[in-house]
Amino acid sequence: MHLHRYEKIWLTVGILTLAAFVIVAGINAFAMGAMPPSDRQMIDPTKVDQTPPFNQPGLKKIGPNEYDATMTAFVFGFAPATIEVPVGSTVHFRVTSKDVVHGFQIVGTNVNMMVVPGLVNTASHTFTKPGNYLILCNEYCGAGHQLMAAHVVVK
Amino acid sequence: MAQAQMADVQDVRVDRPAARLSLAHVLVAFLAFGIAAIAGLLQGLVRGGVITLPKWLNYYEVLTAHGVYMGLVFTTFFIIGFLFSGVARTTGGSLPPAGLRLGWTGWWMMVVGLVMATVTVLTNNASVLYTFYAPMKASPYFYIGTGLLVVGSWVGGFGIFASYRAWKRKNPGKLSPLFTFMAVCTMVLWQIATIGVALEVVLQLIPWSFGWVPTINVLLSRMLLWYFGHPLVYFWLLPVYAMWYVNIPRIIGGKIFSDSLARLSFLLFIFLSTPVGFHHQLMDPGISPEWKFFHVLLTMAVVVPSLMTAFSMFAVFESAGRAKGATGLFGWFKKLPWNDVRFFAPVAGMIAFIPGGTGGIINASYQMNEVVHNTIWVTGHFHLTVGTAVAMTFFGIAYWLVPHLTGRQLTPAVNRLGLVQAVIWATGMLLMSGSMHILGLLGSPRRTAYTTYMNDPTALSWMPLQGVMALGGSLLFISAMLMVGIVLYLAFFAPKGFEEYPIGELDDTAETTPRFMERWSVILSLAVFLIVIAYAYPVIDVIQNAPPGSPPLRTW
Amino acid sequence: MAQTTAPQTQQRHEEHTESLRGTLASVMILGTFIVVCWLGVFILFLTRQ
Ligand code: HEM
Ligand SMILES: [Cu+2]
Ligand SMILES: [Cu+2]
Repeated sequence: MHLHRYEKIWLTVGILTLAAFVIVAGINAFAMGAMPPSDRQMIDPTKVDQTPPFNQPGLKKIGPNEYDATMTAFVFGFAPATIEVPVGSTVHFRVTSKDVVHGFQIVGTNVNMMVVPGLVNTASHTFTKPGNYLILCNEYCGAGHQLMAAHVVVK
Repeated sequence: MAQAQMADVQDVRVDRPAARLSLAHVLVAFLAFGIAAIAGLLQGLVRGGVITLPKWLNYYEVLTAHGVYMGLVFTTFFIIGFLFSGVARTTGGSLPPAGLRLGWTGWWMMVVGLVMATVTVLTNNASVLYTFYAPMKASPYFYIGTGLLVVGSWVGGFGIFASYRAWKRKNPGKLSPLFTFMAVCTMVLWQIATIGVALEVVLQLIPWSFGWVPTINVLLSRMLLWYFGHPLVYFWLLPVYAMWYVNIPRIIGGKIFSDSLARLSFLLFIFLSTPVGFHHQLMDPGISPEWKFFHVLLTMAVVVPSLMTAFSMFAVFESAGRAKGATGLFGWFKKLPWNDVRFFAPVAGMIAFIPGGTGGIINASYQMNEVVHNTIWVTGHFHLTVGTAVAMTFFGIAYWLVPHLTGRQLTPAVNRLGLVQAVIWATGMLLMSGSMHILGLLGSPRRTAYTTYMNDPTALSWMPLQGVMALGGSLLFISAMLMVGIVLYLAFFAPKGFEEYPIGELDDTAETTPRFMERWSVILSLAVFLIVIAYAYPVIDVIQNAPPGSPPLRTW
Repeated sequence: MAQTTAPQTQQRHEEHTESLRGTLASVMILGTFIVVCWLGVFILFLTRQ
């Protein structure tokens, strides 16, 4: 099979570019810690209210400027509906669903993950700017999906 | 016919029985397209805040109809109809009896499935969107209907395989016609891909929705769905590439750039388009980051045959332009038949595929998916790929295919109207998809009815762009209605005559294509091998270490 | 359908190299577009971390 000389050049450049994308993303993820949310912890979706820590959703301080936010997602809301942290805080969000699949996205940040019943998903973010951040459900979950939101208040 | 003189080749006509089969598919496709376009318009207007739906009409019911009708019905019916016509056209003009029989059986199964799915959607018993994520539970008849649609498309595919076998038997030792080869590749890819969704529907969704089993393994159902979800987009794309590789050269008065490279790219799609499904689950829990990364790696590999296609397309254009006397670096560009809708519509699609494909690479770039995942950027992305590159190529095909099948002609007036239709579509998509891309980067979610999240200032700031989206959607709707009208005119009212079915010819200096390209046992083994590597471990793991199951829920 | 003819690879090679400069330029522009867009979103990702 004959490849035109220019096509060889193009494919070489193209393949090297794609390889560069993968390598840059890979280094940023695996070496610099920007991993996609991939928690593997399991939970019975019908017993979320009885299972610690999700029986008491809320914010817990675990160190200077560091918080654990344990949250549940359900039709059509999140608990707790508002979280308040000081500027500069790192928050570890730990979320599970009590019913169907939901999404968990904090607008203006890279926090964006699927909340699948039966599993817990986690993501962390350091809030360096004050503001009222919108948390929204970005996976269709039913008739009131467009109402499903919460807030992170950073002061 | 394969031995016919070159000059006569373009006179080959798809005979009556094959034409009727093909036309039956194409007409259902455009019927679905027209209905889905109404749904699309409503979505655009609702999200833009222009209208509110009446109480009895749920936004997500409309969106389910749009997704199912555009994404599953319009595409699948059109593709099978087009492939049947092209197989007939390149193997002498007719289909063997087995091909016709299987083709019609498949058509009927798909139509019955379509009716079942439609009834459940229209009665608001299946507002689960076209991805039907468990544990939202639709009526079992919705799953059975979509299942029938898939199985019917298999039977149609068997019809294409039967036609290919019949040709091979009549022409021992010969290389199959390029279009027929591509049709077979498309349906092979479809068979491999749909196994995933068939398993999900038959083993998981149907028993669970009837209540025979109490709970479902949600994670497994997502894996099976996305095993199917990515090759699904290549099932849409391959017939489009077939049109670009085989039909376009003839339309512009050029030659096919390279038979062997075209075939090679199709084989690469068979190998690489399935073992990549985790790039749709990059944000999912329950899948380890290493497996996700492996699928990302393979996803980048499946970009390569598209890079090859891009080169071939430019090369065909440049060669044709230069043969007509073009000079300079880009002089050939002006020599192309821009005022021929058979060329203009698909090329507008090709141009849209540049940002469309680029967006795909971005979506698949591992953690970068966090920026765009489930935002309306994704909707913008696939309206460029399937909604423009694929749809506009289908429009371009319909302009000559429909009159060819019905013994009518594409008149100059319809050609002009077609150019208008294509320009409106391209403009509408530029506005709608462009604003969707920006909105997505700002954080606006997809699959979401009109909302300001109780006057959240961030959400309020999205509104002007949502308005642009609604405007684009309205233009698209006008163009869609024009298209449906033109298809009906070409099918039933246009003047009688002969409309050429354009099939490109090979360059005289082209080299022979290596024969291993039709060793299907080798090809299939390699494809299965890659799938096993990419999926066996994660799937067995999620079955053995299943997360606690979910009972069915109706949340709409 | 045109099938196959004797390969004249040598001649074909010369012929096309001269005439495909525009193709090479076009795909390189395409490649640049991809890289620019990808970097744009990657930078957005980094600023949101
Ligand atoms: C009249 C032209 C069209 C208009 C106005 C339109 C409009 C829209 C809008 C506004 C959405 C997003 C709704 C949301 O996420 O809330 C959407 C979704 C969608 N569109 Fe279109 N579209 C059109 C044509 C097409 C075409 C030609 C295709 C494919 C062949 C297509 C396939 C889809 C799919 C698969 C979805 C996703 C549904 C889902 O998320 O479940 N659309 N469309
Ligand atoms: Cu939701
Ligand atoms: Cu994909």
